[in-house]
Amino acid sequence: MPPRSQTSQKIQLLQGTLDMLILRTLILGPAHGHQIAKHIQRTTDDLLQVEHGSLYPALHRLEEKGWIAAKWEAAGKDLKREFKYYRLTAAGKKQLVAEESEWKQMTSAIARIMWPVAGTEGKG
Amino acid sequence: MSWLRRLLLPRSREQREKDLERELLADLEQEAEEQQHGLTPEEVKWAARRALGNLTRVREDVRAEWRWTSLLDRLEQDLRFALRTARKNPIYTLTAVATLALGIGVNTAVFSVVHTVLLRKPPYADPDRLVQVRQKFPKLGGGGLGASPAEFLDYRDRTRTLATVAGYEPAVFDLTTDDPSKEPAHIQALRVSHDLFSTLGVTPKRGRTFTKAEDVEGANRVAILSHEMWQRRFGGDLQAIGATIRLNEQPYTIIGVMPEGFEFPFNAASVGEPPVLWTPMGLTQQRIRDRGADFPIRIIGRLKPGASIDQAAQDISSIAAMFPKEHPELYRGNLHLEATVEVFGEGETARARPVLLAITGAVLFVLLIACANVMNLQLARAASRQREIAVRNALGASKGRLLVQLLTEGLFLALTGALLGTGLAFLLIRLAAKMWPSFVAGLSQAKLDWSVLTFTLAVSILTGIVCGLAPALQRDLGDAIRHAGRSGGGSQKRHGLRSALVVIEAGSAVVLLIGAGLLIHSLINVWRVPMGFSPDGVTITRTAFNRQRYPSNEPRHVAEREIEQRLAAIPGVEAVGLATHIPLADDRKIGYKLEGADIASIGWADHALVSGGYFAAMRIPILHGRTFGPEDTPNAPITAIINESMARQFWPDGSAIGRRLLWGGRRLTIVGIAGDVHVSALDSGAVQPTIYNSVYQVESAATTSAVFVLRASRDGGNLAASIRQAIWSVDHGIPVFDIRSMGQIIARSLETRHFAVGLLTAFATLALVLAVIGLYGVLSYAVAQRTAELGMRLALGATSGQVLRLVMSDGVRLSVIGVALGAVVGALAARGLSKLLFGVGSFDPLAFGLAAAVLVGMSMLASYLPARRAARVDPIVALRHE
Repeated sequence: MPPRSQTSQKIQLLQGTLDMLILRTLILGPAHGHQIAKHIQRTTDDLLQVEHGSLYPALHRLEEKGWIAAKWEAAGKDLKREFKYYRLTAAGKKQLVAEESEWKQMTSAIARIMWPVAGTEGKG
Repeated sequence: MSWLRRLLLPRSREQREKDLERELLADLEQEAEEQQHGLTPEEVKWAARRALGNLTRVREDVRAEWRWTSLLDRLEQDLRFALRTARKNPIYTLTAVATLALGIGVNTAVFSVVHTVLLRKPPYADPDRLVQVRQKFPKLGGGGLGASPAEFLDYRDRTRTLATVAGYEPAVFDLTTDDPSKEPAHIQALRVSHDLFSTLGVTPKRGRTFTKAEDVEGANRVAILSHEMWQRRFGGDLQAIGATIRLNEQPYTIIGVMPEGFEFPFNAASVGEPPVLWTPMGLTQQRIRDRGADFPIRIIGRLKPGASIDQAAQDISSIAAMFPKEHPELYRGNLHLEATVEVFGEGETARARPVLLAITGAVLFVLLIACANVMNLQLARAASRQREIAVRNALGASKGRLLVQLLTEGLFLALTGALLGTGLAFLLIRLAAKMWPSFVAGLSQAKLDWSVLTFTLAVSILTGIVCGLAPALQRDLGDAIRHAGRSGGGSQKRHGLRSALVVIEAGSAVVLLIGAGLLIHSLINVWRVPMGFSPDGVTITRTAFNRQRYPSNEPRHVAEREIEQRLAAIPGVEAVGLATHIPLADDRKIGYKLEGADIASIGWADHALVSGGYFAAMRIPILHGRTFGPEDTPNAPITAIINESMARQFWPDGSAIGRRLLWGGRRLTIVGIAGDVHVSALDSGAVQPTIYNSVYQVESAATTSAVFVLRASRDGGNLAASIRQAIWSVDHGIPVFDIRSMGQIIARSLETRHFAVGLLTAFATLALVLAVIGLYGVLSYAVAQRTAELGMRLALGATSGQVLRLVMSDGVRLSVIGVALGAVVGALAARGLSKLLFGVGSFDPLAFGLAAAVLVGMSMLASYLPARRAARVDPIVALRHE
């Protein structure tokens, strides 16, 4: 189905970033899906809206890869409700470090192209 | 490891679905709680829903991330689909499964035998480090000999590459009891040096092995039993250790029992009965002194750590090279001695290996043909499934998914075939063991154990992949879409592949037909070798007169003569004889030289001690002189009868009668010349010199064995009973252990050949049938596809004869290409058969010509049916067809 392949391309573009953000969020401690989404939203002053359509597939993907693990736990008022809490695994921590440094390299590389240091260019 | 846990304990699909539902619901409720700012409950719910987006879509996307679970899911779907397809096309499925079952079944059966006979490691510690020392006298021809006791001791004491050296020699014992209800048994045993078991690195299951002190003459009345013997004779009772058994009328103390499965030197490639008992060799000083008398001792050694087999060969060879220097009177002329080593067990498998390899090659070709047939079926079906494939592709099945689907179908067929094939293999092994009981012992030991089943699984998976991917091989799957819904046309390429498959099938069948033809031609040649005696109506009976029961020869002679007379009195018996060794079954050679000749001219002759009536009973003609008579007493000068070849070799002028020969210390006078008899196997080449002595005159170690030979005008079951009765009426203590016809003896001597011919012919026939079916299928399909074209031709004036020829020439062309290809491969394969050929060259025009003729003939037959159908096409119907 052609339209599907288009979306999947778009998702892929977002995928790596979202995965990294989820891993980073979980460094603060175990959290359930709703908390993770809210945390990213709040921290970025609502700049980044995490849709459930991306969040849950991402969580399950990370779980499949073994970077995060899940456990059901009661929470909320009177511990009435059970949430699926995700936590970072050792492999996940390693992955986060790797992705972080990759991300840094990429942003600095992009920055050098987009905003070259003024002066060096003018002299040429 | 979480992935490992997932692999081993995959969570069920429902479980995960429930989990996801719960997770999303929890989020939804949480969201709803947070949205509660003066909204009605209904509004809250919708706000939450909006925030979460399309829940169904979320679920779908999450599911896509469950890789392992979804893989299993798909597999289940594909399997269901394969089953459904199979049920919808029962004839197609049955044909494919049956073909694969045949292909896989014969491979499984043959592999199980190869595995048992050739691949199984003997039950010794580190068996690759065990070597066999072999001596031979190259000038005297013949195979590897053993060593004399003195030679054995020299190798043992002088070797620098072998850690230990042990010797053994075969022995037979009469096992007797005082219990008159028990028949005396004749058992195979082995006399061994005390360190044999430590050389092999085995320990007994119960008791102990021999000590050095027991390996001495007089002290060696101890025995170790095989597990089987322990069970049979003592019912597995531990009291057996320390018990006494009577061997050759002498008491032996049982000191140990070997573990189950221990066999030495007998193995799965051996023929006959395994030894069931071991006793110490206890070499006498007399035997050690008599260096050149006899070479019965087989030698086994274990390589020192770090020593290679080449070094050991050099070491042994140089020890043997010293013998002539130390004993110049002995190792001269024809007695020039050479020695070497080989990996232990190699000699045993040497006979069976070429046969089994040939059979293995044959079944691989059968599997190839079976695969090609199923591939052709798949191709034909893929053509009719184009529409289905196109529709499924249009509905979103990716190319990869369709490939996996095809693979699953192929694997389903192959694994079902393997299941049936395994059953077939089981029956085949049983049948073969029944038909050729004395080809190798391993034939009856072969079973479908885990390694065989693993092999079967591997073969069937490979087969399934090849067969399943056939439709994908031929063309891009995308073609299916473009051609969807249209018939005919564009099939040129596909037809090319199908034709190639038919050529491969025909070629493979030709290879097998050539192989079978070569072996059959060889067997016919073997049958034509003159045996020198007439086996019809001859029955042999093996008995033994052991030295303890008959310590002197006089009472033995009396008993033997008495038995000969009583046997002759049985109604229907025409002639009776006695021999220590009989042709085509026994092997006994002696060293002889002409009187007055130098020791260096010593030669080997086949030898037997016989009674005067033996020649008449076997219908061996006495060409000159006389047979043995009552005058040849132990006190008279020793007389001998020699065979025609020997007489001609030494006395071409015909003056052999009256000449003298020396055998050991005995002086023989030739009194008769008998016709040539093939003593060793019929396919072993020319007749060797043969010397006969009278069993009533000459005393030797051989005289404990006595084979009575009867020629009778009738046979039937009660002859054996009459024989037993006659013998036991003279002495009930004489074991009668083998009564069979001379025809059976001949068949047994050719068993290896019969086995090879029988199986190869069966597999060649199977291959031919499969190939012809394949050709028929392809031509039928082609005719069906070309109905319109053929109808057009007929409408435009082609005669039905022309159409017939057109279609038939297609089939014949393919088979001729196949024959040409098969002949080339066959010529290469025939070289591998060279060890089994007799009187036939590798390129035997008869075998090659017949194979080609049979294949072309059968393919003409296979083409005729579709061709006739084509010729009868009604042009009107054909044109409406499109």
